[in-house]
Amino acid sequence: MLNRIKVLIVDDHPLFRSGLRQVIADDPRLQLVGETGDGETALKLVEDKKPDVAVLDVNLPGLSGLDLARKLHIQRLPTRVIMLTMHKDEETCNRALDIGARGFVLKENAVEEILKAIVAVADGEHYLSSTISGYLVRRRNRAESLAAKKPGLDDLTKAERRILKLIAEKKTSREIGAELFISPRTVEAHRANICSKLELTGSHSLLQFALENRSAI
Amino acid sequence: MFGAAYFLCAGASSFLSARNSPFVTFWLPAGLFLAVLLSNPTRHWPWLALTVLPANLAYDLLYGTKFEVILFFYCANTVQAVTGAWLVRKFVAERPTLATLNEFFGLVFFAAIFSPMLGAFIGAATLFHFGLSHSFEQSWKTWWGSNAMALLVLTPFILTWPLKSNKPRNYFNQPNKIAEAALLLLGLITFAWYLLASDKGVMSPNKSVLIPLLLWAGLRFGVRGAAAASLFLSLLLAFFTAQFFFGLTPSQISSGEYVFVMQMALAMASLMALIPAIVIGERERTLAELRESEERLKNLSAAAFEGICISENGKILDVNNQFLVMFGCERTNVIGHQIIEFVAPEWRNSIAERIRAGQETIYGHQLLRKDGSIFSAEAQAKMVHIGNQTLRMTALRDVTERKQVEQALRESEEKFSKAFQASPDGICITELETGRFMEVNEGYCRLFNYTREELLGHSGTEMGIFEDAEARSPFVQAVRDTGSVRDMELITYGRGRKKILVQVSAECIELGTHPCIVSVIHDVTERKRTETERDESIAREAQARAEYTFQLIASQEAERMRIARELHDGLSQNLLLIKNRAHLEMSRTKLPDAVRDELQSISNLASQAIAEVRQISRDLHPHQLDLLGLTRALRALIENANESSKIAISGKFDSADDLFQRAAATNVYRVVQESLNNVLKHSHAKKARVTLERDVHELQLRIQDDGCGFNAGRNGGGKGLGLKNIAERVRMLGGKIKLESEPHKGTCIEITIPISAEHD
Repeated sequence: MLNRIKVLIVDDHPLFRSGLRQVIADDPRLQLVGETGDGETALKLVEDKKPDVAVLDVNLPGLSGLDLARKLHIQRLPTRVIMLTMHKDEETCNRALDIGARGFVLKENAVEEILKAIVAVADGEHYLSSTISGYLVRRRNRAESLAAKKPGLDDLTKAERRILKLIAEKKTSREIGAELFISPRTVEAHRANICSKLELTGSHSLLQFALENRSAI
Repeated sequence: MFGAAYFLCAGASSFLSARNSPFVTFWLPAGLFLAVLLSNPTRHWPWLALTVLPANLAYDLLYGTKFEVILFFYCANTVQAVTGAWLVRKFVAERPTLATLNEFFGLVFFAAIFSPMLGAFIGAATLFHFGLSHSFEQSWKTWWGSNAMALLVLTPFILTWPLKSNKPRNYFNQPNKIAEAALLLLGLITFAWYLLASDKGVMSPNKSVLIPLLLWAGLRFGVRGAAAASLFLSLLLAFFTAQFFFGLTPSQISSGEYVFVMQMALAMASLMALIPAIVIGERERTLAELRESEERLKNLSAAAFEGICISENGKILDVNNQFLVMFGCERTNVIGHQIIEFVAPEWRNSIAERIRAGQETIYGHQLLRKDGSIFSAEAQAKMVHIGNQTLRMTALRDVTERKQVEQALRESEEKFSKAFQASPDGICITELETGRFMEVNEGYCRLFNYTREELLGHSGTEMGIFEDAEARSPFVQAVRDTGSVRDMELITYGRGRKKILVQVSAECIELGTHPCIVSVIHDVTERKRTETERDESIAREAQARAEYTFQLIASQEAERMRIARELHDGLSQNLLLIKNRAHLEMSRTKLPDAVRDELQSISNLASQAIAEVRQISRDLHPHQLDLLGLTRALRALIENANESSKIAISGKFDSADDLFQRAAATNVYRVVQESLNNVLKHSHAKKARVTLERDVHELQLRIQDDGCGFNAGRNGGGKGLGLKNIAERVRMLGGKIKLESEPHKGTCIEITIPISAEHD
């Protein structure tokens, strides 16, 4: 079988891992290339074995599953990630999806669903446990509304709005800092945050935005 | 009026003189002139002299005298009167009243004898020069005599019977006196008649028969009577002699000798009458004065508070009533007794010595009353020499009462002094202006460790008791403003700059004319330290309690987390395994249906258990906080709440993930969770909103609902524990909590947590 899917299992619970191993080993489509209980080793294994799919427990000692997933995502490694979690909550799920996980499987459904999940993810699809698949719908809606909405003042913190107002008064970072009793460096950091939140580039466009929205700030 | 009188007198004089004689026997105007001058101020003299001129002129012109002669006569009269008056005024008296012999003789000598001599010179020379007289000597004699007699007889009369009598004598109330005067008058007329008619007239040697009558007048009727009597007699004799020349030989008449004789006789008569009268008057006056002064003395001694005693050689001659009252005895028991009998036995020797030595200083001693009681007295004696007697006048004053008052005063002073000295607090009296010590007590000295001598006369600032003048001024100002100060706390310094905290109460008083401050100073250093220690220990205790609470919460949090982890790592995992195993078995082929069903039910049970554990675990510890950060955890919290209740909860959270350590983030999370629990459980709200705003220096968390609210003043009532927990956590975050709620008006909890702006 040339096209067996290479799978890496990362879970700190040996019994649970053995259960998973058994399921995966029993499936001829899959090939278990490694298993480990901690995030650091997992990262190394991903780099070495280049698995197609990494099944990561969210809660890991040391580098957490989410952190690991993010790292893989940032490093643009081809390994696709399925998050395993005990936590049946939307935020965790969203977070996982945000950082590039393709699958999100509740541990309680692991044996039933893990094979489907691995196959689907390896195929380039997303997979969520059936009990939380509703999240995906909501997430999609929210993503759409988020995409429709232009970034604006609402995205800014109060501190950022305060600084924006001072920018509208054409004050320099030094002056703003002196007025708010913070260092100019902090003001600069805030400016950078504001720019990124408002998707602005350069201080000129920031000033322009500040002046345009002066009355609303 | 003076001029008219002068004219009348001159007319009268002519009646008293022999007709066809160039001589005027008795020139009355001279007496009038002098008397008027002496009765008026010197500055009026020129006018008076001028008034005389027309009178003189009128009279002499009627008389047929030549004009130039009249001028000389006038000159003579004026010179004589002015000189006489001036001399009398200069050497005798301003206005003689003939009260004394001195005045009388002065008047006689200057006015009656000397000045007419001058006038006589001028007058006689005039007469002689114009051929009106053949003998200068005779003319001079007559002139002098007539004037001298007038002056001697009329002047005393006018001077003693002044027109304006300031002492009207009520003669009319004394019928005896009037009868006597009438008798005397009759006598005078009888004897004068007898003298003129029977014998040789004025030349008779029996003129002395008149003397008893004149003496009678002088002795019985005083100076006035004598003057009146002699004037009356003179007028009588002069008139009759001049008009009728009784008993005179023609030679006597022609020579004019009789005139002189008569003048002399009358002068003598006048002296005879006046001198005894003056002497008697003088003596009477002296006696009256003496009586008066004696009376005054008696009144004085009777009115005196002091007992007065007059003694000679220790024997009492007289005492006043006060003395008798003082000693409680009768006059008869005192007069003639020895002074020493009235002195307390133990004082007798010293007092006897004093009396013997005639000491006049004030001395205190004790005296003995008749009833044997003893009292304190003060005495002053004065030795008086009267004739050959040496009297001792002693004034005594009972000082028992004063002594008692003094004693009481001394005792009270002593009491106050003792209280002042014995007070455990420091007491000082200082001048308000300068702050100089006027008096300090032992307590004060002890407190500041200075001696009284070191302090007196110096100010607290000088002594370094006050840091500087500034340190004293609020105290002084307070005393000035309100007159007193109560329990003012001041920092003072004792010797060696030992810091002493004191509490001062002070009162402004007047000592003499100085405004002063009496201050009572209480050392509160020890008390303050105790207070400070107590405050510190309270603070420490509160701190410890806070720490304990903190630890309690932290350990509770840790414990929850541990349990949550145990549940997650142990129980949950095992349940997962059970469920997964069951599924694993089920996936095997050729299983009997019954076994498959059994496995399915095991899986379901495990699923249920997992859900339960998950719920417990989530309540125990929000795994999102660790996993996703504060903002997402809060968002999850809202979503969960929304799912599990009908309240529409919205939320907006500024990103705050980078702000807190895990413990602090947990506290923020728990605050929101607890508040939200309150909203869910108690508010019956329709809507609620949770916001987290991140400002530059602070984080603001607001949980607001439109529910039933509660009375915020009653500190939450049934929600007490929840709010307490929130408040405790906010305190741990160093923040502030503001709760606004009113029944039916919803609730708003606003929490402000300071954050470090320099977070990146």
